Parts: sequence; structure tokens; C-alpha cells
Amino acid sequence: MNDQERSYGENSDFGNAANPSGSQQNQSSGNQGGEQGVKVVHGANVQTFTSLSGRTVGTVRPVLRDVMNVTDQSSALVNGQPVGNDHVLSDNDTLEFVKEAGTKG
Amino acid sequence: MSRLKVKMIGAGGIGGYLVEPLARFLSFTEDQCELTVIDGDKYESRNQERQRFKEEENKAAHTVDMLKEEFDRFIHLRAKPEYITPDNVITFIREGDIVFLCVDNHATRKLVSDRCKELQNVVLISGGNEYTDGNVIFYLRKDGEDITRAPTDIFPEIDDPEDQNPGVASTDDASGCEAETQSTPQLLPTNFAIASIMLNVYYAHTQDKANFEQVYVDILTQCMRPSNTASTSVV
Repeated sequence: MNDQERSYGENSDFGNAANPSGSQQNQSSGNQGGEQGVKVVHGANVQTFTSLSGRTVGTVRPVLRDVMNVTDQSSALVNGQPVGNDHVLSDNDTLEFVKEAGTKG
Repeated sequence: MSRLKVKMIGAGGIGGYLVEPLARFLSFTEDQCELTVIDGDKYESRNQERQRFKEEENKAAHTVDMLKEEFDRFIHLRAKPEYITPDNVITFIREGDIVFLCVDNHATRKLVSDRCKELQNVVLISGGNEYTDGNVIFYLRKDGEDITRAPTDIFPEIDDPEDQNPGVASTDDASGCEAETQSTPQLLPTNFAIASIMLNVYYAHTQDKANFEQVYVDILTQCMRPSNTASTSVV
């Protein structure tokens, strides 16, 4: 499978988003082997932020609302495991806000 | 040679863009093919900004009439002006079918997903969108086994839908198809993107390259991401 990560909006409140690594990464094992930072996944969008480490899911969610269209209702997974808003993020984590299925057609 | 049977359920925002290239693709890649368009809804003038029609007629009938002008020589075209319901789903979706699901409610997605799970061999490609993003689910059953997961097995909101099947909902039900459409506007480019991905997914399947179970798309960021699971991995 070719690289399926793409970064966008390189500047945010979290500092620069790292460039995609081009390597396949399985979230269940974390953001291993990629660039330093926390990989954030929401629907089609995947972006790695270098300054999320040490912050809680709850504090990054409001800013990601603007950057990646994350909603307050989106449940959060870190490295494939469900977490609450108080979970503290670490470098190489993969944080996914679960995107619901499209409704309309 | 057995005839390939393709069913397209829903001929509105997504289905309206999918059907013509799908019919063209099938016309020139399949020797024997039957394409059935199923939709009990009729066009409404407020949807003309996204959908192609001249009169407020049934979507399935209009769509097939339009297709017959060009493709009747190549594929067998059928219109079924009915909603998919628990009473007719067994009739409409059968062993070996290729199903393109382009509806606007999770209740129908669940009905079709559950029906496909009963079959030995079936391909289900289901598209759905919000205003500027959406996803396409690829469900493949082969010889009685799930090669990829069913929509109901990926998304809890499809397995336990809050909306109603328009073929079952009463006419004065506020959660029916019409009320839903009024309350949640859609965007032509998003419908178009989802339709395109559905055809892409079908082509990947025909090439035995569909190594994913869904594809997300966001038309604002121009990102598209295939995924093997809904919530735990990037492919």
C-alpha cells in the first residue's frame, strides 16, 4: 500500500505539523517509527503534531475542532484503545477521534 | 455465461452521479450484465441544485429511462420504483449480487447490510456523506465468509440506527426522508466525490486490489484515506 498519510495546515496552535513519513503505521502499536510527535487521525485526515505530548485529550480537542473538524462528540482512541478526556498524550502516540459513517446520500 | 447482476439502491444525490459512469463502465467491461435501479422516492424541485431531472417523477424510473437512450444495447436495465423494506429486501438482494448502496439513512443501510450477511457471495459498496466529507464502505462476502466487515459490524450507528427507513416510516413522521433532507443540506461536490470513490472501489475489487474496508474523504482538505478498520488502524 502506498503512503496514505497527508498533512495539511502546517501551522496550528500546536506548532508545526510534521511531514508524513511515507511509512505504513499501525495505530494499534502506536506511532512507532514515524516522526516525533502525536499522530492525529480523524476521518480522511491524518496529521502529526510535534507539541501535543504532555497535554490531555480534553485540552487538544477544542483546537482540533478547527484544524481537523473534530467534534465534541467524537470518541477518542489512543493507540487503538478508548480513552477519556483526561488521558495524557505522549510522543509517538496515535490519537484517533472516531469519525461516524456518513448519513446522507 | 451467467449474467452479472448489479443493484443500485438510491438514485438521489450520490446515486444520481454514480449511475451513468457505472452503466458505461459495465457496458464495456461485462459481456452479460443487468443493472437494476431501486428507489421509491421522487425528485423534488429543491434538490435540482444537485440532481439532474426535469419533472418531479420517480427517481428510479427517470434514471433508467435516461440510461436506456445510450446503454440499452449493452446492458439490461431495470427500474424498481420502490423503497427497500423488510418485506422486499430478500427479493431485491440475492446471491452473487453487486450492490451499490446510495441511500440517505442508516436504517436502510442496516437492512441491506443484514441481508447481505445472509448470503454466501455478495459485494456491498455503501456510500454516505455529510456536508463536506463522507465515507465508502466495502463489504465482501465470499463462500459464506466475511472477507471484510459489514457496515453494521464497523459502525454502531448503522447497527442501531436512530433514523427510519422511508419505506417503513409513516408519511407524517418527522424523522422521515423528506424532513431529514430539509434539515440537513448537502453539497454537490461531496455527493460527486462519494460517487466517484464508490466506482473506484468497485474497480479495485474487480482487480482484486480492494485491500480495505472503507475509504474516508474530505473535500475541503482534499484528503482520502482507506482504512482496514473503522477505528483502530491506518492501512
